[in-house]
Amino acid sequence: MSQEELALAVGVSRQTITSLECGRYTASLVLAYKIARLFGLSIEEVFDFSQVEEL
Amino acid sequence: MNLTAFRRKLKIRVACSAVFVLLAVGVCFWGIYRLGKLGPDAEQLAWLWGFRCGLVGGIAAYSVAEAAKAIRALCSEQKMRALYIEENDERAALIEQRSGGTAMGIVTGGLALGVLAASFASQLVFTVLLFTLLFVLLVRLGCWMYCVLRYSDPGDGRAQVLSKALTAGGIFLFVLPQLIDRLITRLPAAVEVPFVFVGGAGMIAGLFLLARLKGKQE
Repeated sequence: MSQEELALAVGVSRQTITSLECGRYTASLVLAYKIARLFGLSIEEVFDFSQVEEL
Repeated sequence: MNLTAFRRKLKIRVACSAVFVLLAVGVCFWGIYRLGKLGPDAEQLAWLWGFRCGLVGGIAAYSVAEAAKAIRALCSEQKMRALYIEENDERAALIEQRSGGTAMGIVTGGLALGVLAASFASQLVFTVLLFTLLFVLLVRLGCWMYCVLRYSDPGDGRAQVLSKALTAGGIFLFVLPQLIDRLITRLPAAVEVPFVFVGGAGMIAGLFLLARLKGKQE
């Protein structure tokens, strides 16, 4: 699936997908959910949370 | 994607653009008519009319471009989807919010510095900048209140907004008549005193509420 197709499927611009891929932008919960649902995976399987600091 | 609501929004946008363009054409024709009536000594007035027509004409041209984009989107589902994404992209919205907030902070700080600098130079410039700064602060407060009410628990949000609105409104009412009195025109005491009392009371009530909220949070 191309970036353009993924962007269109989840309702964002191609630049948003590019920024997500290179880690310049953090997706909203809704966008993360849409992307995960599109691939039939859970959010944790699609996104890397290892950098998230514990409080 | 709620394309039905977006379609309605685009139709409203096209209608508003059409009305604005009609008004702009009217203003431009009126300006040309007035320019024809002006004598050769009215250079300043002619410049002002030229500026008005240019500004209104520029905004009208932008409206026409936006309306054309909306009409194109209304004719094709694919283009409407693309326009919806362009206008509702969450990263673009975040960039808009961040840059807008930063710009607003810089503008407010710059205006405050300008007021300070103008106080050494010219009373007219000082007065204009001071009232512009007050207006900007009021707009910021208004936007902040809207966002707090929109994104908070109703009870919590209302308490926050009420306390800050009372404090800021009180300060504004307290200071405004004194500024007008000193900088623009003398106000009779019968006008000034109620403002000072209501403003002072609002300010105290607002500060009291703020202190109570702070106490509750701790």
